[in-house]
Amino acid sequence: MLKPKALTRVLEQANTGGIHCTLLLNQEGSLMAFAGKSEKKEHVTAAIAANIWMSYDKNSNATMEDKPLELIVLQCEDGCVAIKKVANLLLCIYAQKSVGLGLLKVKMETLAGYLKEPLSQIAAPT
Amino acid sequence: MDEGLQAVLKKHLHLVDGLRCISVSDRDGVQIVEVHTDHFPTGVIKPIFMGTFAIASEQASKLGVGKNTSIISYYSGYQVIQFNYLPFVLTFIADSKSNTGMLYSLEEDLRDPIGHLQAAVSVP
Repeated sequence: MLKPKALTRVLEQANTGGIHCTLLLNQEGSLMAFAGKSEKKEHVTAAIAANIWMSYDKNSNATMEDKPLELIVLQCEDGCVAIKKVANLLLCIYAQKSVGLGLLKVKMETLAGYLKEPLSQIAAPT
Repeated sequence: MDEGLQAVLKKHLHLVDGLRCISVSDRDGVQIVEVHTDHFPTGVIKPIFMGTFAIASEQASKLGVGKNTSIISYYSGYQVIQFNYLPFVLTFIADSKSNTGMLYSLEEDLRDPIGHLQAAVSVP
């Protein structure tokens, strides 16, 4: 059984040191869980992040042979966004520009590793 | 211009450990200049992959954190860094263990030559 409050608390733990918010979304871009300061644009972020992930994943399947896509980092002028697949969901971390790429990557890998097993139990087979 | 840029890219190719390919393409993924080592994932430089960046970059610019400057995609074994110089795209393909910070530093060195290319095609 998925406990939304517990899931949100886990996501919240990543929101330190310049991380604005952490999102969990499905591959269609629908928001599953959110932790962070709400600016009422989480749904837009989720939709865009899922769309970018799906584009890269689809094209890399056709061109990278046996090298699956592991992580995407979008660097923008005022911040950056990291996206990673966990079970059949997507984990998305929204950070300000000052956050180091290495720290962002480690936080993403740690959170994804922690969530992988419980989310795999509720994930529908694809 | 093309030969000059190719020479510049070739000079920079061996400056970072694990860097396999430097490519400049247009927004549709069509190659303009490319230098590479003997072993690199050739599928990455196909237009189907390269063309993804222009659309993804435009969408990423709508995330509310300013204009998208680059996209890093990590695969098992490789990392692909694409820089927004639209209408051109600068792409680095490197081993996943390569130092990403060094690759970003390399991009700073290439800003001028790519900037000249941008200026050459810009409409006044």
